[in-house]
Amino acid sequence: MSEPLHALSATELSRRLATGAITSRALVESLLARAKAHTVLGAFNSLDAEDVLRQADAADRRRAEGKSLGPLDGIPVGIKDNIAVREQPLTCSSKMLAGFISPYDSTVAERLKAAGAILYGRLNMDEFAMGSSTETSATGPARNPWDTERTPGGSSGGSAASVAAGLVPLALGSDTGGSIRQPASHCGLVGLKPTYGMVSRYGLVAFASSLDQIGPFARNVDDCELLFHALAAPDARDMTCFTAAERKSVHLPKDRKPRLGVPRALLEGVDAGVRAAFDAALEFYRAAGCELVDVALPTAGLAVPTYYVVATAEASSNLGRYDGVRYGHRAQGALNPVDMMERSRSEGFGAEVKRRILLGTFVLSAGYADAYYGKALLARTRIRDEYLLALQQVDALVTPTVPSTAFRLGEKAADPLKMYLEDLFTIPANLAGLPALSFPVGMANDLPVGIHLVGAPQAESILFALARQFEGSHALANRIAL
Amino acid sequence: MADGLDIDHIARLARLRLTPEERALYEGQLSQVLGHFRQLAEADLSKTAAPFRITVSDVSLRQDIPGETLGSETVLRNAPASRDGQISVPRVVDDEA
Repeated sequence: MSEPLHALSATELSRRLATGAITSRALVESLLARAKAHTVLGAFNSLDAEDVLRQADAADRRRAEGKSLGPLDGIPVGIKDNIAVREQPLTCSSKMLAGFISPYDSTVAERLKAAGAILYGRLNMDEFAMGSSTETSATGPARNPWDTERTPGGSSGGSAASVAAGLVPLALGSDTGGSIRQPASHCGLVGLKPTYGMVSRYGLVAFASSLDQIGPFARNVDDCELLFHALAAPDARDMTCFTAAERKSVHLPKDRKPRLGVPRALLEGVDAGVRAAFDAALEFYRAAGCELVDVALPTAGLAVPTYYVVATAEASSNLGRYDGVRYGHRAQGALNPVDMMERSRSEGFGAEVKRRILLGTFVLSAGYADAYYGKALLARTRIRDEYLLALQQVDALVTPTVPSTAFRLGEKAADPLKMYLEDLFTIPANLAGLPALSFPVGMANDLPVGIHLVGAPQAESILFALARQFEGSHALANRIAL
Repeated sequence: MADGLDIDHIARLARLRLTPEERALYEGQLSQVLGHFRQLAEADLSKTAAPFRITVSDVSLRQDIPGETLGSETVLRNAPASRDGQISVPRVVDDEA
């Protein structure tokens, strides 16, 4: 009982709020003090103390009146700074959107508000979610609470750092190529990229629309699942979001052992410490009665170039809207509208965003679109078909989440290709639209190691069940890094 | 340039103005990345059924019902410059035109 509030899981906090043992205000006050003491982590782009205390008081009042909105009522949820919350800043960690205030709520913000959750601050990220280390943020990098000289990963680095450090029990991130799972792995957390179509993206700043999904971060599987279910619902405002009729729940079969597929050919190049933790996790599952099956995914080797062609092509189009006209940064003293657009974009975007816009513009340009973009769409079909075929034979595919543990800040910043290869294991789930969960399985060199389960469409429950099985036998849940 | 990358042409298409330093940096980095992409360009994918499409056939369109819109005051709050309730930009048409 003597555990401090910041160290408690969301489900435990929810229990104590329900019994009246604690108040949401006391919880928020303790988290605000903790955030203040750990600004070195660079986790928040902004955090309005007055606003979150007001939300906490409203939750306490509802509860006192017997009108609690459910298990998330009064629980703080950190929000990545690319998800719109009405009347709050929305910067995407870019100079381009400095000072922008959201005129409306994203669907996920609406849903969290309806569940009584406290929308808690704006979390640091790579600029426009382009990066794997949170170093491309215009507000400075976020730091890994396990070792502040290292990256928490990215692009949802602020989300991961804040949850791992106990600054907030839950957070939202977005995942286009691994931006939830890679930071979850680097920070010892549970992070889910839902099936494409599970969670509405209305109000998420678009990066690569055929890949983007919003998902939860937590310190244990139950918390992650609780937040996921609060988010996943139909939404007519996102045409890619599943309707009620299209939703189904997929569970582990009861008449046979669970089957885990291991794509061994992809595991070359994994660091020894990560490999050891991964092998130990496989051994756990085998001993626990799972069947391990070797699977071949022959086109997965093309996943990184396929992803970077598709994602940058879509980004170059999506970021065309930043022209300095209606909102965002505008260069001063322009001679004419074209001059204004070019100068505004050149001043407002950082280096990685420019690099990706240039790359995406090139792969879509006349004379090259067939060789790059067209080819990438074919490879994407093939990768998806291979994954779906494999998932007819197994319940989930398992790999490490990332080939190595968190790297030092600055180590890969000057080498974009090296940074892009960080996403090797996480990218295929985005290309194929499949659900994927990262959860902690051990440590290597005092840094967390995660493994990664990919399931069939809408098989989130299977991923949670398998992860929960591991979590129940290991003391890796609910750890606070600081 | 390697892989036909004409950085000045691409920057113009992308409405980006690059400093000489940026130009040199991106030209080198993008050539390196495109070199890695060559395995994709060279892969034989001719037997693949069809290019990927994210939308499925039964994609749902919502009913076309008029709803509330953001007021001009709300929209103009994020505009870099406005005048008389409208967004203002540098002059588009010359006086003589």
